[in-house]
Amino acid sequence: MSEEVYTNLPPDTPINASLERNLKNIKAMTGGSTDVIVKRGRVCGNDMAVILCEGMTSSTALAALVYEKLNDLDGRGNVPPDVLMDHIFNAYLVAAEQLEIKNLGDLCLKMESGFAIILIDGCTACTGIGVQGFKTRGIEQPDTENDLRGSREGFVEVIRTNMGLIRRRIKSPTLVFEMSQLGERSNTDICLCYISDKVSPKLLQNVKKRLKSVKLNTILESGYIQPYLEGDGGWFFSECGTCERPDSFAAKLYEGRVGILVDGTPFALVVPYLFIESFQTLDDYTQKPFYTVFIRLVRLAAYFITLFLPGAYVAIASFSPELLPSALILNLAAAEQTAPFSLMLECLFIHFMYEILREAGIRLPRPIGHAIGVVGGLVIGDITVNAGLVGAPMVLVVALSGLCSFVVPAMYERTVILRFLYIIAGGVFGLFGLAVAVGAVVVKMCSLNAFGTPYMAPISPFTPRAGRDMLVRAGWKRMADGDMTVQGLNGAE
Amino acid sequence: MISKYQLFCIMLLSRLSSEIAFPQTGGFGFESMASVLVAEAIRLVVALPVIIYSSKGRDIYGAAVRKNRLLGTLLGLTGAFAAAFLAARTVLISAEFAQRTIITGMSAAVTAIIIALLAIYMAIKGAEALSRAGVLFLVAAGVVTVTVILADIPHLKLRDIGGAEMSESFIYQVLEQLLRGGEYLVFAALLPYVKKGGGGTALVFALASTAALLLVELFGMSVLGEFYGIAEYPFTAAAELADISFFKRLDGFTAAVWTLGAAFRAGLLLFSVTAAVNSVMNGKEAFERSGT
Repeated sequence: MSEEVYTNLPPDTPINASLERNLKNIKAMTGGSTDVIVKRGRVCGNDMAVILCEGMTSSTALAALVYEKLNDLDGRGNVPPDVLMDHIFNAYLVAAEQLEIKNLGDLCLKMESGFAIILIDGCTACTGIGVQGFKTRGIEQPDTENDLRGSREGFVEVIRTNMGLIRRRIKSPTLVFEMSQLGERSNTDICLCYISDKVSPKLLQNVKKRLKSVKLNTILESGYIQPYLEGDGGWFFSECGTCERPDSFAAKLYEGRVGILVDGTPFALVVPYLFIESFQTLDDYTQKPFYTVFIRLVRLAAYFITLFLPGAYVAIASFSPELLPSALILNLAAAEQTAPFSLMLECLFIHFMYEILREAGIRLPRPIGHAIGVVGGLVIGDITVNAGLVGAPMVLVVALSGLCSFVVPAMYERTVILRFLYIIAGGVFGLFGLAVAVGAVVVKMCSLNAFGTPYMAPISPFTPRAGRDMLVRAGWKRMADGDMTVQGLNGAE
Repeated sequence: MISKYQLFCIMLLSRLSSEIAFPQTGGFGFESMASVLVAEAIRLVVALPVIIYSSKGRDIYGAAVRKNRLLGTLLGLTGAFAAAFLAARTVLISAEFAQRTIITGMSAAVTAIIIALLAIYMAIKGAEALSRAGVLFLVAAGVVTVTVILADIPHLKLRDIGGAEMSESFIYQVLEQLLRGGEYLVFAALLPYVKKGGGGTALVFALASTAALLLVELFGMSVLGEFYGIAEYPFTAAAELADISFFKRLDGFTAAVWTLGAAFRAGLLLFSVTAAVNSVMNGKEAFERSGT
C-alpha cells in the first residue's frame, strides 16, 4: 500500500469542489480505516456521499433524519449543487446539531464524533448532522461518592449527558458551558463549567490559561489534565478535586468554583479544592444539623486516628511508655515479647502488607477481591500474630488505622504516605520526631494557595462566616442568609 | 497578608512557648510573677515607639533608612542581629528541653539541628504560611494545655505566694525574662505584611501575654507548691501529674507540642531577620510595596 497515511488531522485543508478528490483525501487521512462508511448516491442530478463512522451513529436517526430527507428531495428534478446544499442546510430542520463544515480537519473530527457528513459534488462546503448514537453506560449511582439521601445519579462517560445532568440542577442563564478540545491526537472534548455571576474572572482566566498549557497527545481521563491545574504543592496536596456526582458538582459551582468535564470519564474536576472539602459530603446537608456536627466530628477523629495512631503508638511504646497506664504497658510488653523486630519495623511491615492486600482486592474481580480481604485480614493477620512475628496490639492499631482511612476517602493517597512518614519519624525520634514531622507538614499545607484561595481556608485563615458550615453545620434557614463563595473566604485574592 | 488576629496568635504562641520550653528562672511566688510583670513593662516601653509608629506606617526599618540611611541601617541590622541571637538561643534551649523531656536518648546537638532545620523551613515558607500555621499550633498547644490544667484540678491547692520577699536573683530573673522576649522584634519586622491595626494588636498582646504568663505561673505554683522553685520545667512537671485514664501522664504530649511551639518561635524570629534585612536593603521598594 503506497498511499500516504496521515496519522494526524490536517487542521485547515479546505473541502474541494470535487467529490472524488474529497473522498480520496478522507480515505488518505483516515488511513483507509474500515469503520469509515461512505454511502454514495445521486440526488437531484448531483453526485453525493454520506460519510459516517460506524458505531458512532444511530442507524434509526440516520435513516429518519438523513436518508429519508435526501430521498424526499430527489423528486425535484435537477438542482445546482450549491442550491441543493443550501436547501439541506437552511431549509430543513433536520437535527438539533447541524453544522456547516469547510475543512477536512473539522469534517473528520465531526465524523469521528458521531455526525453524518453530507458531501455534494461541486460544493466547497459540507453539512454535518448530529446523529450520534454510540453505546454508552447508563446513568448509575456513583461508586466513589455514596450518599444515604439525595440523587442516585452519577456522571457517566459521555460529556453531553453530564452537561445535561448539571443543567437539570442549575436552570439558570448564568450557568455557562464552554466546550473545547484538548489532546493533539485524541481531540478529547473538555467542558468548562461555571456560574458567571459567582465565579471570579481571575480564577476563570487562570483556569483557561492552565488548560491552554496542556500539551498532551491523548487525554483519556481527567487525571491527565489534573496536574496542569495544580500549583507548587500539587505533587502531594491536591488543589484540584474530583467529583462523580452532578449534585455535588452543582453545589461547588454555586460556591464560585470552576468545574471541568472531560469526555470519556465520569470524574469531573473542580478548582479550587480546599482541605476542608474532604470532610464534607452531600449527606451533611440533608441530615439534621445536630447529626451533621456529630458525623463531622467522627470523620475528623477518624482522620486523626488513621494519620497519627500508628506513628504515635510506635513513638510512645518505644520512647515514652511511662505515658501509658501500668496495666497497658504490661499487656503491650507481653504481646511484643516474642516479636523479633522493632515496633517501627513491625508497624511498617504490617502497613505494607495491608496496602498490598488492599491493592490486590481492588485490581482483582470483585468476588475474588472480597476473598482476598478475608484471607488477608483474618488468616494472614492471625498467623503472623500466632507465629510471633508481630504483636496483636500492632495488628489492632493497623486495622483500626486502615478502617479509619476509608472514612475520608478523598484524602486516602496523602494519608497513606503521611502515615508511613509519621511511623518513621515516631520510630526514630519518638514524640519529638512526630511533632517535627507534623509541624513541617502543617506549614507546607498552610503555605499553599489554591488558585488564590488559601488551601487551609476557612480553618486558617479563619473565616467566621464560613464557620456555620465547617465543623458545625447551621440549619438551612440560617445558611440561606447570603451565599458564601470561595472568593469570600479570608485570605482569598 | 497577615490579619491582626493572626499576628496576635503567632506572637502569643511565641511568648508562651518561650515560657514553657525555657527552664525555670528559680523564683517562686510573688517574686517570680513580679519579674514577669517588670520584664513585660520594660519590653513594652522599649517597643512603644514601634507601636506608635505602626499606626502611621508599616515598614519601620524601611522608614528609618529613608530618614537617615546610616542610622536606619544600624537600627535594622541591630533588630536583625537581636532576632538572630534570640532565634539561636531558642533553638539551643528548646533542644535541651526536648532532650530532657521526650527524647532523652538523643544528643542535644542532633535535636538542635533538627529544630533548626524545621525553623529554617518555616522561615523559608514565608509570612503567610507562618501566620496560618501559627494559629493552628496555638490551638493545638491550647488544647493540650487546657487538658493538662483540667486533669490537674485534683492537685490544685491554694498556696501562700504573697509573702515571699525579693531575693538577690530578682534582677537575674528579670534579665532572663527579657531574653525570652523578641515578639516586638517580630512585630516590627512583620509590620509590612500586616493588613491594618498592628499597633492595637501589640497592646492587646502585651496585656494578654502577661495575663497568660501569670496564669501559667500561678497554675504551676498551685500544683507544685514548694517544688515549683526547683522544677526545671514547671509546666511539664505539672503535666506529669495529669492522669486522664487513657494516659497516666501528659508531659510527653505537652513537651512535644511546646517544642514545636519553640521551633515555630525560632522560625518566626529567623523570618524576622530576613524581613528586617530586606527592609534595610530595599527601603524604597519596600516602602512602595507596602503602600505607606
